[in-house]
Amino acid sequence: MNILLVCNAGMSSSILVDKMKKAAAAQNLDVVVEARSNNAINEEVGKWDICLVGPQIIYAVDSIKATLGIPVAAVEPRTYAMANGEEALKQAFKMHEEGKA
Amino acid sequence: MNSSKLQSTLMKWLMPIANKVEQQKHLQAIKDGMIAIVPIIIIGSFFILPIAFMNVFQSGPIHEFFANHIDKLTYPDKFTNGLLSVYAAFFIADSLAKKYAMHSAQYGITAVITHVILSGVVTENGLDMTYLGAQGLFVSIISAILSVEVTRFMIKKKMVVRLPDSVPQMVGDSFSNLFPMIVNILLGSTIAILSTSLGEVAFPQVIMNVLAPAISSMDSLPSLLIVIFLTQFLWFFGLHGPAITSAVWAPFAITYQAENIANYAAGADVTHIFTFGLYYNILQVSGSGLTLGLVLLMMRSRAKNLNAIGKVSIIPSLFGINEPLIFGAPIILNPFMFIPFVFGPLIVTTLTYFGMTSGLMGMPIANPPGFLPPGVGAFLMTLDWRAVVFVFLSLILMTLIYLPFFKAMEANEIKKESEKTV
Repeated sequence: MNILLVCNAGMSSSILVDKMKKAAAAQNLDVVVEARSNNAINEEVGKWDICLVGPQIIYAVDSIKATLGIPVAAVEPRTYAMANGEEALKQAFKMHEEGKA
Repeated sequence: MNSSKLQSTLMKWLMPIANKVEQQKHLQAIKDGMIAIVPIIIIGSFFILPIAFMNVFQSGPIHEFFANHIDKLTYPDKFTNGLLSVYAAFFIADSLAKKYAMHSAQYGITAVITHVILSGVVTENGLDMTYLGAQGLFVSIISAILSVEVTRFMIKKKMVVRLPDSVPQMVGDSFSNLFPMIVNILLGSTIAILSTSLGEVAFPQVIMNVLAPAISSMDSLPSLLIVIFLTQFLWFFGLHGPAITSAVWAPFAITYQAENIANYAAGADVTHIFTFGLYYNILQVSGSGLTLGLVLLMMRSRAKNLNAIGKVSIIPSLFGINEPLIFGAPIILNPFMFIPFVFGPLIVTTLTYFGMTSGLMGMPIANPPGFLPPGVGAFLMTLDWRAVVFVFLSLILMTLIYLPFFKAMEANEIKKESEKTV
């Protein structure tokens, strides 16, 4: 599964990306996770299955959804603050399941 | 109305505004395009450093060496900062076209041509570049939006050459852009010629005369205070303050930055305070709210939650990223943090403004790279050690402002934690 993380400059979300990669490796999950800045998402159409956005740009969820056409949601603030990779992965997989249903 | 009800009412009111700004394609394209030229300004900044060296040594062999070779040493400046508005026209148009799902570099190039027509002044010897640098940045917004909208309109009305799908996309794109490009070039030429023949000044000068009041009023203490207040206020509700507000102020701040560099390179007075670099390297140093001191207080806290957040926040904070702190402490919707977080930075902003106008520290002459540790950016920006001292004094002042509120928050946190364990 390909998971895209988006925040304003792609900086704070990259902290969470590292933790998600580690959590995925520990669980032997086959996922690709990368961070992008919000102004670069026009280039990302068709490349991702799930998009998580930093809670600070929760207002951009609608426009990102319209651009990418995949499930998009804000990361839970506490998960984002602590860069909790496991929780963020769980959220992504849950969204993926719900998207299929 | 109790406080949580007030908060949810405000949130209901702020979210749609943030959402509107986010979805306003022109505003976002201007912001993205302007921010895209910042790296060029940063690189250009390096090449005005020889002028600073020359000024450090008032006379003597080193001064002579720099003075004799200053044209060569600053050569790239003419083609980075000196042509800034051309690059801005490309990036703004490219960003806007992509937002309309028009994916081709053709639209950026059409904007560049339109912009050079509107801003280049033809002389006997060729082209006068006066308005292609900082002075043409507002015109690049016009050129970019005009050319993309004209092209989009023509595509919509099918006023373009359509080649069969079997033709490679690159070829197809350039042919389909043929008529829109002709129309844009004719339109640009007409405006440029009318402006010089009727108004007797170049088009960029017309625009600057019209926008002069708006342009100068942004570079003032009240504007800075409003921008910083809105930034902090939005963050308090968990919304990225700079990302939302910069749609309005970034074009101004980047233009001021570029004008300062141009003036410095020309040996003229540097006049603008509200630059892009100032915002991130002084007014928001270590993250919105100048929170480095607060992070240090939390790292020493006996409250487990605050202590844990302090520890994950410290490294990102040193590089100006404080989302972990803002969402972790949390600062958002935290009644203890409202006053210091929203109003503290206004004090720092006021001190910065008077510090610079009174000459106690240097004005922003260069634009440093982003995400630098506190003080480093301020030094690269002003080349003045007093600006570095000012940054650290500001951080200490902010720590003192946070302290009593932090104590109250900590006591509350410890009480909650002990209740949980009972």
